[in-house]
Order: sequence, then C-alpha cells, then structure tokens
Amino acid sequence: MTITRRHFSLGVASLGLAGLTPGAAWSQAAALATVKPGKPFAGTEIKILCVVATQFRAHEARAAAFTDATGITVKYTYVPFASMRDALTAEMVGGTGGYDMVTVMDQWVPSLTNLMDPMDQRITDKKIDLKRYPEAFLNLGQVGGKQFGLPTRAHVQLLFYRKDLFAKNNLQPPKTWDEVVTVSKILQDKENIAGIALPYGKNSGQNLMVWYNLLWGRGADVFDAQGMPAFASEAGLKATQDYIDMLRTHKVTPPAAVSFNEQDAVNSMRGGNAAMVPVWWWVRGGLFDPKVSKLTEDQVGHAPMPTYAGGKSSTYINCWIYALTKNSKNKDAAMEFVAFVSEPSVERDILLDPKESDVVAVQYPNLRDPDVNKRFGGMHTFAAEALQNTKVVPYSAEWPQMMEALETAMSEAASGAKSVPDAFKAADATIRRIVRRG
Amino acid sequence: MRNSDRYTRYVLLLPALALVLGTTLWPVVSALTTSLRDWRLKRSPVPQKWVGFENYLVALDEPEFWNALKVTAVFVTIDVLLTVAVALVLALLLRRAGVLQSLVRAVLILPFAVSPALIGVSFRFMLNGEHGVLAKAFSSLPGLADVVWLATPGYAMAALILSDVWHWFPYLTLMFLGGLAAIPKETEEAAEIDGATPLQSIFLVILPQMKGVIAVGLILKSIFALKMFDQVATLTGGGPGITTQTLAHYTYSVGFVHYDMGLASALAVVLTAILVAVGVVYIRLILPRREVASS
Repeated sequence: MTITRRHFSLGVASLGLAGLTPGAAWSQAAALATVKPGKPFAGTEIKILCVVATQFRAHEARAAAFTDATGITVKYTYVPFASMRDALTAEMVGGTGGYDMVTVMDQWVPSLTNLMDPMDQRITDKKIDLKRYPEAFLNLGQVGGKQFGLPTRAHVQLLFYRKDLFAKNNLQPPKTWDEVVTVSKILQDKENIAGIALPYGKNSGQNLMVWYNLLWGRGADVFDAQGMPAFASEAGLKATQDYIDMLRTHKVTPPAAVSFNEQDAVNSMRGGNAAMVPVWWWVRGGLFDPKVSKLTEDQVGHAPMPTYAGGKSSTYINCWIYALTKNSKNKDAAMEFVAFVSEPSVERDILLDPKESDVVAVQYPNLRDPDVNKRFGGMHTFAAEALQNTKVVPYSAEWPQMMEALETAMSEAASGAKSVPDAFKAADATIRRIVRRG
Repeated sequence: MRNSDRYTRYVLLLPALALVLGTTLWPVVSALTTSLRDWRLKRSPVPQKWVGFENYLVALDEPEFWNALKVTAVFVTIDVLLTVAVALVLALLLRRAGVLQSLVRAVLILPFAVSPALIGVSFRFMLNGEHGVLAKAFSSLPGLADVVWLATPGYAMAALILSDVWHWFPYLTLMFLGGLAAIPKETEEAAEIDGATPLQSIFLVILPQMKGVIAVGLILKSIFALKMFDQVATLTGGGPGITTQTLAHYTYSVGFVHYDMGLASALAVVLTAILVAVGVVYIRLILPRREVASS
C-alpha cells in the first residue's frame, strides 16, 4: 500500500484531533513496546499508593495509553508526604495486598522490606537496562543485594542564587564554602540581604541535607566501613563546625534560619530575604512562581553545590522508587506498568511537555538530553556530573532512628544549647546504642 | 419488676456495651499485651516473642524517655494553670448580660473549632522570624527583640503553651460561664449588703461555689495536655533538640519512626497509667469525699 499525501494529511489530522504531537505519539509507541502483546492481563486493575507529586500525576495522565494497549486499568491513591510513611506502614502491617504498587522514599526502603517484593527477576524478564540509571539512584532501591524497586523520582541539590544581585556586584556563584561566606558578606553589606538561607531546625532530617556535602567535602563520612558512626571524627566535627559557623559565627544566614526547615529556607529566598539557597532541583519553578515568590525567572540562577577548595562538587540525593507489594495478587500486571512508566521516553515526554514543569529525570539519556538541558538551563548536565561524584548514605532499617539523633544534635548545636563536639559526640553514643540494640 | 424485664434491659444494653468495650477496652488490652512482646516492624509485620517487662526496662534506660517525662510535666503544669486562669478571668468578665458579652461569647468558640495540627502550622508561620506577625509584634517588647522563638528552648516551650492556651481557653471559659450561671444571685447580693468588695465577692463567695466546675476543668485540661501531640509535631517538631518533646510525641516517634511497636506500646501504657493516676488524684484532692459520692 502506498501512502498518498491525503493519507498522510489525515494521519497528522487524526493525531492532532487526539491532542497528540508527533513527538508524543513516538514516545508512547516506544513505551508501549515494553508491554506484553495479546493483552494477557486485560480487565485487571492496578492500585498504586503514591505520594503527592506532579510527576506521579503526569504518570497517571499517561496511563490511558497503557490501558488502551493492555486492558489494565491504573488507579492512583495519593497521600501527602507527611503521612506517606504512616500509610506505607499501615499497608505493611495490614498485609491485605490492597495496593499492588507503592512509591517508597529511599530512607524508608530498608525498614519496609516486609511490604515490598524484590523485582530482580522481573527486571531481567522485562529486559530493563539498568545501565541507564545512575548507580547512586539504583543503590537506594537495594537491600541485601536485592532490587526492591526502580528509581522513578529523584532529586539532586543545586545552589540557586540571585542572578541580578550577583551581576550587579560583579560576583560569580561561589564554588567553595569559603567563597559562600565571602560572597554572602559582600551581598549583606551592599544589598542588605542575608547571604544564604540554610535549614537548621528539626524536621525529617532536613537540617542534615546540606551538611552531608560539607562532611564528604572534608573527607569525612556518616558511617565507617563497619557501619559504625564516623561523623564525630576530627574531619567530621570540623565540617559540622563549618556548617554551624555560617549561622553563628559568620552570620551569613537569616537569623531565623536557626529554626528554618527546608520550606522556610526556600521561602526566605522567594521573599527576597536571602541571596542563595542550596536545595533540591525541583524547587526551581517555585522560586519564581508569581503566586508565591517576589522573584522572576531572570533573577534566579543555578550552579553546582559548593565544595571545599580542590574538591569536586557533590550532591546529597533523594530518590523514590516504584515497588511491587509482597501481597499483591497482580504483580505481573503491575510490572507491566512499571516497565511502561520507566521507559526513558515517558520521562522525556514529561520533561518536555509545556504543560508540565517537573524537572525530575532519573535516567542518563534524559539527564544528558540536549532538549531537556535547553529547557531547564543546563541543570541536568550539572546533575549528571554531580551524580558521578556523589556518595550515598548507607541507609539501614535503623536509619530513621539514627537520623533523628543526628538532626537533634544539629538542632542543639545550631541553637547553642550544646557545642558541636558535645552534640555530635552524644549523637555518636546514641547511634552506637541503636546499632547494639539492632 | 418481672425477671424478664430485668434481663431485657441488660440485653438492650449489650450493643452499646460491645461498642464501648471494642473501642476503648480492646485497644488498651492490645497495647498492654503488645508492650510485653518484641515487635519491631523492620523485622516483622506481626508481633514476635513474649519478652516480659523488657520493653519497660528499655524505656527506663532511655534518656529520651526521662526527658519526655520532664517536658510533659513542665508543659502540663504551666499550660493547665494558665489556661484555667485565663478562662476563669474571662468568664468572670463575661458573666454579666449585655450585647458585647453575648457577641464575645459567640465568637469565643471559634479557636476551639480549629484543628490542633492547623494551629501548630499557623503559629509556626506567625512566629517565623522573617515574616511572622507574632514574631514582629513580640519583637517590639523589651527583651524580646532578638528572640528566635522556635530555636530557643524556653521560648519554644512558651510558644507551645501559648498555642495550646489559645486553643483551649474558649472552651473552658464557656464551661465556667455555665458554672457561674448556676450560682444563686442571692449569695452575691447578700455579700454586697454585708459590705464585701467585688474582689472579696469573687474570692469568698463565687469561687468557692465554682470549685466543682473548676476541678472538672482542671481534670479535663490536664488529660488533654498530657496527650499533647499535634502542636509538637507541627509547631516545634520536639525541638530545639528534644526540649519540647512530650511523652505522646516520643511514643509516636518510637512507634512510627523507630518502628519499635513493643517499646511504643510500653510507653503508651505508661502514659495511660499517668492519665488514670492524675484523674484519680485530682478527684480525691479537689473534691471532698461526699461530693465525689454525689457527683
């Protein structure tokens, strides 16, 4: 059969009527190539317990094509982040298999292995190439050598800064923590604005998220090779003192930063009260959203996270996985959806969709994609580079308890209730007690 | 009364009894049995072996437990006394009939209608050092200019108490207004004729007659204050450090952050025991024996 100009025009018109661009049609086709032919699971409904995030809404919006191709319907139940771990815990204890898939944050994975089913064999069967994921992201979904889920929403940190104020004062984004202090003091003197908004208050470990980079930059780490606390080493305490000094000695943060959580730090920059904020990349859009920010897109620049002189920029990372539940009766059908939604073209489609503003990419092809980088000012290239240098915190089932001890120590040191060595040596003792008790 | 009538009334009570037992007694018994077992969710989704009183011994060995007890005691003492005092003063001011009084009484209930978690979030915004309306207002007071409310232990506790007093004083005010309305006017008039000043009337005539209502208010407020969780979670997070971590928040943390359900159940049993003890002590101390018997 030959394709005439009329046929071609009709084809393009029908795509247009369906609300699809040719690019979108291509990406769906690539993603749908992952599904098993013959609709063997037609009539199945997959239930997903999911944290509220724009990316998962975007996945849900693309599930219609999956349903057409497989006969499997997909039902998302959204839970706010603050309640997500409790919801997962209830699902694990209930053990009803009420949900076939769950989204789980990296730190919770080791303590929720009784909820999830390892998917190594299914990944092999579906021929999913794991090399397309940064190793750091993959590691965060593993426990005891088993892959409990595929990375689906992950974040790296970037330093967002006031491009206009830096240009006005002929300053470059700081590459080191010393430069952060220097630049901040200049901006505080000349522009009457706090240099950098950092979170020091207690809230789900948010006061540790920048600190990890200082720790790694000084050559220290959270744990040693035996899994025992190592943050109270000489280098670790020095790094921690550097972080606290920005608040208490150099006073380059807003005074209220001592009780800031991450959102407060972001709001500080949005409100024009701070010139820099190191934070997750997904925050970018909100920094110049006219509904919540005084800033415009032109005023906000981004740079890799600062490090110490001679060191490489690193980033603490956060990663959510899509996992299958142990008690699901529809694991094979659910894996069809995992494979579909994990296809790089779906992620790219979301990244380039003008209706979406989500920056999240978890796969190298998209992190290095020229169109993606063009849209987001090159932040994905920074991310890809930082991901190669980054370390991950080796989370264990006891991590949430250990993290609580660490964030308490940080809060005590920031408020001046204890010195850095006193607070962190006490945290060291607490964590050793947690390790002993198991 | 016929025998069948006597049995029928018990049969009719059974559904209500089953509901009460199922929703109150069963959770207590379940917590009690769980507190005697090893149940760490990271290892198993179901309770494991019986360990006797080991969870209680572990709790006694945890510095965080003693800190939580101390924080709870400080919070309850100040919070209860302050709330009852504010409510009592307001009730005395509003007890006279009048348009303004009626209007204030109607508006008064609004804070109590707000969710405690939301109150915590709102106070967190209002006490934010950069844009918080309360932080700005307090900063103009002597000695409070540079205070970062939620980052300084004493002030964080003050913020927690302030938010809870704001939540609870309206309810207690209305309760005390009810008590004041029940006092015979003749007693006040008699005191006035005898030459008592307004303050003497309040302290020597009105308050003694309000003792029962105040006792109920104290008990009720103490029980709710002992359970303080919401504002700790949304306002202070237990910080700075662990200086505002109450026993209820610590129990939640052990259960749902540390995933140690056995230990969390032991802590919950301790909290329940304290609640029961406080209730009994208050009733015995404040109400004479015959009033207890007749109430």
